[in-house]
Order: sequence, then structure tokens, then C-alpha cells
Amino acid sequence: MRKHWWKILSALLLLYVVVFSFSAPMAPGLIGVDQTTLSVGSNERILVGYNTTFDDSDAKLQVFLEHEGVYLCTEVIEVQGPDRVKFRVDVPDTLRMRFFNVFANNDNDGTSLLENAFTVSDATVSGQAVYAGCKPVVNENQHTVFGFPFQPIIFESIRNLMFHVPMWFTMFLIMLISFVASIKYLMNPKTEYDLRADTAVRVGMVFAVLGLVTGSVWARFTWGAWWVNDPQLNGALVTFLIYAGYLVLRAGIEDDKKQARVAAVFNIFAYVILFILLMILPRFTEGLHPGKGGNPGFNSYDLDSSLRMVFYPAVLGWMLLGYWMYHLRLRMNRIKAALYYNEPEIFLRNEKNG
Amino acid sequence: MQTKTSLKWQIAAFSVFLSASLTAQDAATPISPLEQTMYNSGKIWVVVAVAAVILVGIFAYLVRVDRAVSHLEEEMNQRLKQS
Repeated sequence: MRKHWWKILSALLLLYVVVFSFSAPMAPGLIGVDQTTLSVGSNERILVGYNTTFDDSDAKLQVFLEHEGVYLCTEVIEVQGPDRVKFRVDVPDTLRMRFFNVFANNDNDGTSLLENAFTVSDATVSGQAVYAGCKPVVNENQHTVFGFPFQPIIFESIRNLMFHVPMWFTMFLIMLISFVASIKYLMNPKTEYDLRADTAVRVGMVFAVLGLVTGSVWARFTWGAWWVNDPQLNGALVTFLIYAGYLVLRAGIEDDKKQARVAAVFNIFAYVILFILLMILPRFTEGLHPGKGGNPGFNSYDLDSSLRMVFYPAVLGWMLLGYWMYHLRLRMNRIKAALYYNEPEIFLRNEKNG
Repeated sequence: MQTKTSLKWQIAAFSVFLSASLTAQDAATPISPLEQTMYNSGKIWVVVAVAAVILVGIFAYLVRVDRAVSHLEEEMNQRLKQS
């Protein structure tokens, strides 16, 4: 039992991750307005929220428009439900710019923002425009409700962070195992190291495919297409093809020793290219993934504490599961090597070491 | 060999996925029934789809390991019969 603690840990972590990531609520946010244009004078519009409590009369609901730090107050006419409110706004004829953000604020939900919600077509634009604005209370990010952060377009699919992203982390780990095994093989050509490298690449490719397909599904319903021209996507595809090339190369060389040696050299270069394509190049280019033109790591993922509580266990849990999948296949391949290549010592030695 | 046929399947499956991705790109603009379903309840169905994809992937992996173990068992049986 002592030998298997990490497998149990993996199961428990993933159980926690699945339960938590499907059951935690979303923090409140704003989805949209019934009409995105405003004209000079009095306007009546409906604001639509998500998981909000507009109908709580004790929570002092305020709706206001903002641009360049200047506020325009509105009058709440009718609350039509927890997530619908009708309000009136008087738009002056001279504005600083034509776009308005909308804020909704109440004591339960804190302040939620809808960026560029309105365009005013018929107003005069002047940088010095002064309007009798108001000073609303803005308590940003002070949700009193626990939940995953609400982000426009992404909505509930932010939960995919616990499923899509760890696929790539796991792939990196397993390809690292393969990379280390290949280096060891070149220093000390034992069949065991070659088996490790080969098995790890095959399992790593399972995670690469899962990462690509889950990413593709997520992209379809947030970015609008199954495949978009993003440096991370193209890099991932090239990586996948390079590792497919590794398997083709192995299948193409008959001689066992030569096969193992050439494959090990190829594999070392493959990992370096994987690292460059997925970790380095995306930092210098524009793309749709978070953190482009900067650090693609943790901070830029807009990870808040509620996401961290699930994301870190998710990464560890999926990595352990991936290692388990690899380990199972490796043990099987050792038996295979012992049977087919008459190298019983591979099996015997590792049977002792576990 | 067994590894060669499975590799052929992998490449075939992936190219189907890739071509489906590339052709589906153009039909994105009007809201289809599929999109309507996915956008309902704040896109929670996207998460369900992604979790399902991972489950299918893990099961596919299990099937492959299962087959490989069966081959080994056959080989063992034959050798035991011979000896």
C-alpha cells in the first residue's frame, strides 16, 4: 500500500477537482444591454446581469455609465428580476468620447463592469466636455459571494481551466521524463532508458491530443472557430507533428541499437523545440491566449484565490494520473521486451526496484 | 508489426480531426442550434464537452493498453504450449 500512495492521492485530488469545479458558483457579472446605442437626451435601456441580485431592495442597486473616469448617473426605473433592470439615463450633447462602460453596484454583488456597452452616435465630442456627473461608490472586486471570477465571453467555461490547461502541464512533465531518459540513454545505452523514452512520448502524445481537442472545443464557443491563428495553437500543432515524427523515425529504423540512438538524439531536440514553441515564442507575439506579449505563466491568467484553490490541485492530480498511465505502460513494455527481445534482465531488475 | 498499424490509426484519426477543424471555420457566423445549446446556461455545456473529451481520451488509452496486454498474453500462452 505504501508504494501506491501517489495513485490514491491522484484519485482524491481529481475527485476534489471535478466536484469543486462543477459545483462552485460563478461570481456575479454583467452580460449585456438590450440596445447598444444611445442618443442625446433621455434614454431607457435594460441591463442584463448574470448571478446578480438586482431584486434585493436592501442592497441599494446603482447603475452608472463611465468613460475616462467621468461618471454619468442613471435612474433605476424598474427591476424586472434578479438579473434584469430597466434604467433611464440623460445623455448631454457634448461628450468626451462616444463609448460608455456600464457599472452596476449593489451591496451583495459588489461592482460589476460591462466594457464599451454603449455608443452614442449623435453627440459632439470635445475633450473638455464637463457634465454634471455624480460620484458613485465603486468597490471593485469586492464580491461578498464566493465564486469563480466572471469574465465576458468566457462565462461558465472558465471552469475549463481545471481540465484543458493541466493537459499541457502533464504533457510537459511526461515529455520531460522522455527527455531525461534519452539523455541517460546517450550516456549509458541500456534498453531500459530507450523503453522509458519511447513509452513517455506515446503517453505524452495522448495528453497533447487531449489538450488540442479540448482547446479546440473551448475555442469554438469563445473565439468563434475550431482553430484560430494563435501562436500557442500553431506551436502545439507543430510540437505534436514533431513527436509524431519521432514515432515514424523509430518505426523506420530496423536495427535496434541504431533506432534507440537516433531516436534519443531526435527526442532531445524535440523537447528543446517544444519548450521554445510553447513557452518562449508566445511571449513575444500577439495571440488570444492569456498573457501574450508578456509572461504566459500564472499571474497573467487572472487567477484569483477561488481559481487557485482548484487549479493547483488539478495540475498535480492530472500530472500524477499521467505518470500513472506512463508507469503502467512502461511496466508492460518491460515484460514485452523480456519476452520478445530475450532480455529478461530488464524485467527482473526493475521488478526488484519497483 | 503492431506498432506500425496503431501509428497509422493515430495519424488517420488526427488528420480527420484537423480537416474537420479547418472546414468548420467558415460556417461560424450565424448562430446554429449547436451554438444555441452551448451558449445556454452561460456556456456550461462547453465545460461538459471538454470533460467528456478527456474521459473519452482516457478510455481510448485504456482500450489500447488492454489490447497490448492481450497480445502479450497470447504470446505467453503460445510459448507455454511450445515448452
